[in-house]
Amino acid sequence: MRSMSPALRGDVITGLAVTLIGVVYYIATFWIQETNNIVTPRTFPAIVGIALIVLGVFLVGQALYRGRKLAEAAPSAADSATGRAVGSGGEDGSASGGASAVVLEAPEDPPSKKVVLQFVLFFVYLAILIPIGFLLSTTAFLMTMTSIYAPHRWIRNLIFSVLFALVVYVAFVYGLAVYLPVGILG
Amino acid sequence: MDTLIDLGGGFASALEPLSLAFALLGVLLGTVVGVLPGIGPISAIAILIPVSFGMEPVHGLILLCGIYYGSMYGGSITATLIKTPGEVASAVTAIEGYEMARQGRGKAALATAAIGSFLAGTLAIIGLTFLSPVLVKLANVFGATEYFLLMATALLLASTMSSGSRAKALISIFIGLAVGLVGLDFQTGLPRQTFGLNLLSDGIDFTIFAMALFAIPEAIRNLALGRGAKEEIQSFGEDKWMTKQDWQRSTMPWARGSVLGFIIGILPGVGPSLASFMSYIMEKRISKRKDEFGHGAIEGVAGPEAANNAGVGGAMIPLFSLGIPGSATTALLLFVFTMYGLQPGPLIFRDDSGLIWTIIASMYIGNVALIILNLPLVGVFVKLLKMPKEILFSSILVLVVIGAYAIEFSLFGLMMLGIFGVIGYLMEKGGIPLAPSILALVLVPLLEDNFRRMLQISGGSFMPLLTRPVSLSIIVLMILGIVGPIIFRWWVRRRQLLADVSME
Amino acid sequence: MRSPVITRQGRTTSAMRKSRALKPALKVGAVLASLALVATGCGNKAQAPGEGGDYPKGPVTVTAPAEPGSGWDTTARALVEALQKEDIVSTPLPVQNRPGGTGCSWITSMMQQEKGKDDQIAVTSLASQTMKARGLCEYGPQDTTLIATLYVEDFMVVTPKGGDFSNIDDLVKALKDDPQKVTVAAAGDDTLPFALFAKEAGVDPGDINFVNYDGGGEQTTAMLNGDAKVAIAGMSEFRSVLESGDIEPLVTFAEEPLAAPFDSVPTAKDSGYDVTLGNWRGVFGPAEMPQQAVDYWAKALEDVSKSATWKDTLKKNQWSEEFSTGDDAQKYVEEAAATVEEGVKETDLGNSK
Repeated sequence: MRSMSPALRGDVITGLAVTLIGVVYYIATFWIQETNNIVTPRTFPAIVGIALIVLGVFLVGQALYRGRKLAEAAPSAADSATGRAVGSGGEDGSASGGASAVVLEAPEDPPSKKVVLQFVLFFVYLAILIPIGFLLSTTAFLMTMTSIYAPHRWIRNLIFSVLFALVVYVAFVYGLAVYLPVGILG
Repeated sequence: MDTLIDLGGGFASALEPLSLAFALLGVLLGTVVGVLPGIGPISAIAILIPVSFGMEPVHGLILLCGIYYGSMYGGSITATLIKTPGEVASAVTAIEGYEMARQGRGKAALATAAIGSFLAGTLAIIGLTFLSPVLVKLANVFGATEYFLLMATALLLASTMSSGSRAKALISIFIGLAVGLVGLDFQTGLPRQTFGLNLLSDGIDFTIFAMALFAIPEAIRNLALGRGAKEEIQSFGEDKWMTKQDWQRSTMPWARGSVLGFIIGILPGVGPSLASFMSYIMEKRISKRKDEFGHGAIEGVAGPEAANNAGVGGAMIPLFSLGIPGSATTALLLFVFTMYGLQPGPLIFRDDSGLIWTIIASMYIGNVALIILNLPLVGVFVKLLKMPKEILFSSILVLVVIGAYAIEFSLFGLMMLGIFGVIGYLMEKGGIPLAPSILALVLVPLLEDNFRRMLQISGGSFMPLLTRPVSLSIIVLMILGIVGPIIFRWWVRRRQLLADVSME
Repeated sequence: MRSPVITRQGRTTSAMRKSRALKPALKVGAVLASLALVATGCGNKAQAPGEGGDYPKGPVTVTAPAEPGSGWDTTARALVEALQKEDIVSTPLPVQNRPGGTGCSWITSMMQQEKGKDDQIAVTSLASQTMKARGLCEYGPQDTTLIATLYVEDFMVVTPKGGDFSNIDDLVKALKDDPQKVTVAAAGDDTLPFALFAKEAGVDPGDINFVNYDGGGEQTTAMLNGDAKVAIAGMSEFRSVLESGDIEPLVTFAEEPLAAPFDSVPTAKDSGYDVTLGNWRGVFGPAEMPQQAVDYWAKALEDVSKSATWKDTLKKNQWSEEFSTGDDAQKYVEEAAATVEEGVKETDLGNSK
């Protein structure tokens, strides 16, 4: 494993995850009540579960097989064979500088810590939206997101956050009669 | 000839200033509403039904038809610019359209979508006007067996939607199928794969799934790249209008998409969403520039957008000629017709001939209104992308959240959005393409229902697949499609080999 | 066919197994549910009930517990339209959609979270009773504060014109010969009246070859392409295609013969099969809704039921009026519930082919 290229290691992890999902999904089908129909409600979910297991195992096997083949071959060949993944996985800034004119490079990966932070903030927003209400929670969320990015422009961020929340609220509630949560303002 | 005279009469009343005004208003309202995620054509029509009840039948129906068209196009605007498909049919547009926008070709993408929608919409209405009596028979040769085959073929083809590992594309498809099977079983009403949560009994809403998979990972990634990396963030370059090459590359996809969309649209229950996906797959398969797909190929916007709008026209055929609604939206239109005391069906052409031709005429006008309104607006919409990235992408997150709220009205719906956002992010990181799973989610009920119907009707036998002429033809075509290219390649290679030999 | 008793036991045990294995999931669910409870509690401005005759003081939300465009949704919107057009209610009546579990989610909310409030009413129907009878929902319409029944949409069996059956006797004969060959297109729980009919005709409901379709449009297509021999649904589903003449009615399960132009369609009762069941629609309020509000809405709905707008709506949609309030409504709905419960038990609905 340690000698594997990042792309193949990624495939092994992906394959294992898919297998796991397939197993859980397949086990869950045992709770579906059986009926006398020719095709029962369980048939399709069971097929899908098994297919996910098979595909996951296949992906792991394929990655391990390729990894061994690559290890046997010259190490330099490994880079070219997995060029795409290396390109997207690399965090060196020079990669984007050399992007070709026609085809954009796959977008680079941001640092995982920041992604986790963004997702956490997003989930906090989702959780407080209904109890706190749309206007307050959205203003707070927009303010936080924009200020993490550009803290020095907090006045602009604040004006934008308040205005955006207000305009959207009015448009939905009065224009479309889609009632957004009022929350503690109600 | 009678048709032309009737149509002329229709135009005469549809071109009255007031009718015209309502067509324009409907398209405008529809576009605005369609731009908002989570509010698709169905909700738009349902919300505005009470407004239309206060009007004359002609005006009310013209308004609603305009809203239908407008909201279909509105959905592709957000799909292109911010990778947020507002409804099923525009999910495909998000693939190539967004890539084009990233490369500063957003204007071209929106323009090809608008023009394609206009052409296809108009062609479909011409088809509706003149070919209804013939085409409506098509719906009657497609039974459960044929539907099942069609869906199975579509899914097989879906694995070719993305480039890269075929196994990963299949994983994507099965993830979509897995998600689509959650909820109460359609046939028996029994809960499936709900993990004991009653909240899951209605399944995962398609729009929430598509928005979560497409929009959230993209927005989060851009926000997380954040500070310090400012210059490296994709620069949406100077926006250019459609170039001569763009026109050349769009023409055939428009034409193919129109025909394909129209035919698929006629089939009840399938509708425009499958049409747009199938058009994308077809364009990719026959394109000489396969490598460009996934990186902003204009064919991948032109074809599906045309197919989508032609599908809308196609769906009107069973509605008008048989009174059978082909989709949820046309079912709603049927209700509206009923409330006005009209009964769509063959008799409507006799009993309310003046009105029905006015509506058909107003569809032509609605299409013209759509392009008149939207081509100039393309530039305005594209300007939105010039907003600072942190503002653009955090606004997208908020809009997506409102969309999810407007669909489920519950914390549960919001949490589903977040969870599938995470799943989408992980899938992208693992190199699993997203689009096939979205198509699979759309198709799984049709696939499963028709499979079960087929066996229920035949008493458990698979023989109908081979004994029904239409189904047998599909199978033969499929085999030819798979085996044909292999034989052709073998033949080409052999000739080359022979040529090489003779050279030596 | 399995006996219904075993099936029901099977369901209970499987439910128990599920709850044991999925405790963590349930806990998450409970947390989510309690959050939702807080949320809705904050979101709705409940009126202080019972202060003189000035009800309603604010907007009253009318909920369709299904998607926009569905049967419940169109009923709710048509009702609100009539109430406002006739100036019966002057406060705003926003229509909201709260889909979930064939109405189960919202009925549960009305029984729990919205308890005691007076600014909520909702639309319900026979389908919710089937959900309860099948054990898929804790509450049925009969458990709520029922305000009124509005109308009944009668079930009808149809067949393609010039097809195998020209009258109900042909159908019964074919069913007795080989039920497998008589494919019956039905949407979800609409199988119930047909199963009851089969039982009356001496055919085991478990042998009926039901094929599931989503609504009248799909059912008609299925009959026209030969996949289905007959179809059953609420008659508004077939209205447009009946008029076009491609399909024709065989029998209806209505109490009385239908209105013109379908007055010649035999009722099952007159043909010697004692099955009467219609898909009624009604309006209900939250559990323990203040009496003042219940009275207000009973009166308002009674007024609207007499109005020209509403009568016109009923006529256009082939809905037959079945207006009742108070004890009459409760009695009507409980009778329907009894029929459904018995039917579900005897026909093993949804668990056999």
